[in-house]
Order: sequence, then structure tokens, then C-alpha cells
Amino acid sequence: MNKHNRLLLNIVSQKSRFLYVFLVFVGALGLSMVTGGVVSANLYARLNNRSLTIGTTEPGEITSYTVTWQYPASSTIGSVRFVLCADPYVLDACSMTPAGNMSSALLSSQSGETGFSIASQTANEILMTRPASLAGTMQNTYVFDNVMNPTGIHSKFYWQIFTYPTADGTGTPNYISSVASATASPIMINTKVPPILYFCAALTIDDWCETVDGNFIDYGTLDAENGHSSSSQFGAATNALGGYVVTVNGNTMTSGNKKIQALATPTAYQTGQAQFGLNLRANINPALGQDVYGDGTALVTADYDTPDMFKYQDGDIVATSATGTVFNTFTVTYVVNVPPDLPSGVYNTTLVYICTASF
Amino acid sequence: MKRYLRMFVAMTVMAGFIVAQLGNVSGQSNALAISPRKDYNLSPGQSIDDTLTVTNRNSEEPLNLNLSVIDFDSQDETGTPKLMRDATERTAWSLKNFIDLPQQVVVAPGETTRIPIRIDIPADTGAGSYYSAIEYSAGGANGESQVNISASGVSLVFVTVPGQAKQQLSLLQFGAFVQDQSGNTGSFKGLYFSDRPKVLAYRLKNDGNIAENPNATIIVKDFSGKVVYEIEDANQKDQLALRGQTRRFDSCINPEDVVHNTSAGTDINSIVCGDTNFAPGRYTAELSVTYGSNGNETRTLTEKTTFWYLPWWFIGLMVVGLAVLIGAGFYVWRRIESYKGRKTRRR
Repeated sequence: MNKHNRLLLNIVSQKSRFLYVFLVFVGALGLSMVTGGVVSANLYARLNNRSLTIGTTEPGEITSYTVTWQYPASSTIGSVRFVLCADPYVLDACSMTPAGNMSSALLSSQSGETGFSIASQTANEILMTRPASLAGTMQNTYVFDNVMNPTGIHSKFYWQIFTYPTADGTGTPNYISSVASATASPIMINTKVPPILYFCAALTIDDWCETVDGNFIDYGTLDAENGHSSSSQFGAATNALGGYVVTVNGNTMTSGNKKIQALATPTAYQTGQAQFGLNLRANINPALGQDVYGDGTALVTADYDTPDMFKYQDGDIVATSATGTVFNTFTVTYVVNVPPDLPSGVYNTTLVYICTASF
Repeated sequence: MKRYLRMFVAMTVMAGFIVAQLGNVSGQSNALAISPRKDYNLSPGQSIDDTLTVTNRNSEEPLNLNLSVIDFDSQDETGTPKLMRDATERTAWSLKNFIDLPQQVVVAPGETTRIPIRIDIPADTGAGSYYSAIEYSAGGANGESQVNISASGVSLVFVTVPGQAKQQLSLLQFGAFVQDQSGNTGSFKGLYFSDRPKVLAYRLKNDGNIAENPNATIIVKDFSGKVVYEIEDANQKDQLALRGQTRRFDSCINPEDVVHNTSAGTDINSIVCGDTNFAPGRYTAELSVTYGSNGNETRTLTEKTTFWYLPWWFIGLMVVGLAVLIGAGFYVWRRIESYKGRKTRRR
């Protein structure tokens, strides 16, 4: 092999080496991209088996609070701080302080690690202390009397717990956790706007259901040569943050034990075949219907959202809104087609549109 | 005359179907406004008397309502209830036997009625969550006509019986999420090429007998560990994971609270996911879910996930930059090898 060829071979082999390194680098980069990586993380040392029990759930009531926990390991404990907070996120400052009051709380009972007394207290914080000593892993329970529940209706709240090796609540806590409880008043307080769900269904409706008109459709004589279609409307709105769903319920058109077959999947309109279906779109065939309108955020579900394709299944969801929304009006187009050999009779159905808030 | 009479009779017999003119006859309201949800905290042996508010939105026709208590379950991983209207047996969490309310109510046009409801919790009821739905069926559909339209509203009723109950939530999945148009379905995604991520979602499986309303927080950090987004309430809609349900909770990274003033006299709040301003790069999200209250152990679930935002223009820049780097490196290597070669030849 001459010098020229050896040089070429050398260059090619060096280029291959570079190419190899480049591909490995890109491959590693790509692998790190697509590997989402879900890794369990213990962000901080927590107390085990912890809970908060309140004597009564009435907002604003004076009652007793029983808090209990276990240390995960033997630790030096000198003081414990309780902070009333609207969130359990102990790694950050409390987002909001519920309107409760711990300033008159009394430590009436303690078990497990004992010897504590209240060193300081405010409306939303209690610091109890003792001479620092080694704490075991038994269950510890502390009962505070004379605590006022946060006011308001159905309010979840938290006690954030910080334990310290020092006897005065200073320094770095060795454990931090939170415990939850909630007040619940069964009687609505009139100062708060309650959640409301507005709903109506008829042949025609207007905004916010103030006018609704007609509640039945009669096709007259059903025959195989001429298809039959009609429409109705429904509308909804809610201030419930979870939004709502609307389902359509009822059998297909029946006459005794005879029925017109409902369309199990979205199907095109076809005369001369047994079809009962609906959709919530503006259609060309048949030329009927209207797309959803209004300022709300509600949408038609996928199976009923294609023009000129119709379906019907008892209980299907036809419209949803994922959040609170102002009024939307939906127009339902119904199609009824019958085969030439359909047994005679009076075929009818009752369709019930049910509107439910989401939980 | 007789011939015409015979023709008339024959035509009537041959019809075979009832022929009637298309009707817009109403006489009955199908328009209502109701309380969509009621929550109670009742101890065993305790009772409560409350009212359900119903408004007839139709200003001309009365609203004839039939009231019934129906059990429900979860439909899927969202908050859509599955009404068990044809069920013959009660669920383990049913309130059917605990609720007493009238079966029929008439609401005058444009008026609001308060319907009395009483809930009695038996003394031997175990701690946990119990729930059923109250269906308000607007009656009056003409059953003789071919397609009758009827409207029903539903209120969901939840009762929490405090005490030591079985609570077990498992965190199944957490990550950046892309919703479909309706927000009901979608998919988890770790790599974004065009749109910036807007939603983080987590899935919880509830194997306890409490309908859990978890509190969750999420922190999003960039590759350097700097916090770029902090979601203090990742369950802002106070959504529930029902007994036995696997529930997906979607949380907007940048939630926007939109208020609509309405002609109906009620302000409507909506939570929509605003745009995020992620720069290209790798991000880490840390989730902390807390649940359990009122004497039940408070527990915390944590999870960490990563996602990338790599827009196409950024990838293009990176490729070009990498090519330049490799080219420069190869050029330098060639120069070094050439220098070595000349040195060797001189020897």
C-alpha cells in the first residue's frame, strides 16, 4: 500500500472515529432527553403516623385539638412549634393564615414524650418547650384545650409542625410535617355566593334559559324513501369551578318490542336504513343544526362533534365544561331513517338531558 | 257520497302510523337552576335539616319536578359522575337510606323554592365518605309523541363521617401533560418541540373508603435548580378522588382566574391555563400531595419528574453549533497531525 493510500486510510479511520464519538454523544443526549425520569424523592425528614383531631367541626367554635405523631428515629427534642396555616407546604412561608385562634390554648394533656409546657403563643402559633432530651419512637399525643376553630364554611386547614433539638425553638428543625383537619358548617352562610348550575332543554331556548319553548318532536309518518330530521336545544352554565357534564339518556325509538336501531358509532345519514342518531353540529346532510355558541368554554364531546355523522348511545356524554363557565347553547340534530320493511306501529322515545356538576 | 266515504276510510286504515302536526306545545318548564353540590360533616347518630334551592328559570310555565336519590360512581379518571339510575342495589357509600326529601315539587314561573332535605346518619355508621345524587326531573314530556325532550338537573351530596377510616392513596404517575380539546383526556409528555408545556398532572389511586380531597403543591425548577414556577395549590378546583377511583388531577402551571359578570346576576369564575415562558432546556417538577384529616393520619406523597422544552429553532441552532464545533475540532486535529507529520519527515 503506498503512502497516499495509507494517508487516505488513516484519514478515513480517524473520521470514522470522530463519527463514532459524535454518534455516541448524540445518542446519549437523546437518551437523556426521552428518559423523563420519575424518581421518588424524600424532600425532608417527616414525622410518622401523624394526625390532628378536633373536638367539633363547627367554624369559630372553641374546642380541643389532639395532635399525635411518631418520630421516625430516636432524636434529641427540646421544643415543638405549631403553626396554623391554609396549606401544608412546610418548605415555604405560609400562604394564608386561617382565621382561627390559638392564643388562649392550654396544654391539658401529653403522652409519649412529655415534660412540655407552652413557652409562647399567638393566634396562629404555639411553641412548647422542655429541656432537650433524647426522644424515642413511641406515639406522642398532645391535647390543647380552648382552641378556636377557623371561621368560614367547609374550610380545610393545617397545623405545620416543626420539632427542634434546642429548647427554645431556634436553629434548624430536625423534623417538619403538617397535619390536616377541616371545619364544615351544614348551613350556608349567606355572605358567600353559592355554586349554581343553570340548565334547560327544549325545542328552542334562549340565553340563560329565560325562555324555553316546546318539548316534543313529531315526525309524522315515517317512510323509507324520505329521511327525517329535526332539532332541539339545551344550554348550561355554572359558577362551580369543576364545570359540568351533560348526558343524553333514553332508549332509541321503539314501538312495543320493535325498535329503530340506534347508531352505535358515528355514521352518515342514509335513507332506507334503520337509523336513530344525533349530533351537535351544523350539518349539510341533512341541512340542519348549529354549532355550539355562547361565551362559555363548554365543548361537544368527540363522538357527537362531526358534521353529518350521527350516533346515539343511552347515557353518552354529549357536552362538557372543565371549569366554571357562562352560558353556552347547544343545538341537537336528530335523524330518523327507517327500512322499507319496518313493522308498523307508533315509534317514540323520551330523551332526558341530565346536567351534573363535576366533582 | 258513499264512494268518497269509502275512500276516506281506506286512507285512514292504510296510514298505519299516527299522523299529527309538528308541535311546539309546551305547558311545562324545562329550565332550572340548582345547587350542584352539597357537603356535610356528620357524626354517627347525627341528623341535619337543610334546604335545596331550585329556581324555575322559565318566567311563563311552572316547573313540575320529580325528585329521586340516585347512587353514582366515577365514570373515568375525571370528575364526571356515572349516575346509576337503573341500579337495583345500593352502593357501599350510598346515602339513599339516609336522605329524606319530597318526591314532587312545583315551582312557580320565575320563582325560587327551598326544598327541605333531612339526612339521618345511623349510630352504627362507620367513618368514611358517603355520597349519592339527587335528580330533579322536569316532568311533563308528552309520551304519545315521537321524540320527547326532558331536562334533569343533579345535585351531588357528600357526607363525611369523621373518625378512623381506611385511607389509602397511591401516586401512580406525575408529569407534564397535554390535554385534548375538552380537557377530559390527553397524554403525559416529556419532550416539547413546539408549544411550551402548560399543564402538570398527577394520577392518584384511592383504595380507601374516604373520598379524598388532596392538597398538592408543585415546584418547577430549571436545570440550574432555580425555581421558575411554584404552584401553591395544585388542586385549585377542590376535586375529589372517589372511593375506588383512579383520578387524574390537572394543574395549570400558570393558572389564570377569569371572572365573568353575567346577566343572570351571578359572577362566574373560570380557571384557565395561561401561557408559560419556559426557555429551552430541561426542567424538574417536584410534587407533594397531602391528604387525611379529621382524626385520620395526615400523609404526604412526593414525586419528581423531568421534562424538556426544545423548540425546533433551538434544535436547529444546537445542530449548527455542534457541526461548527466538530468541524473546528477536526480542523485543529488535522493541523496537529500535519505538524506531527512534517516533524517526523524532518527527522
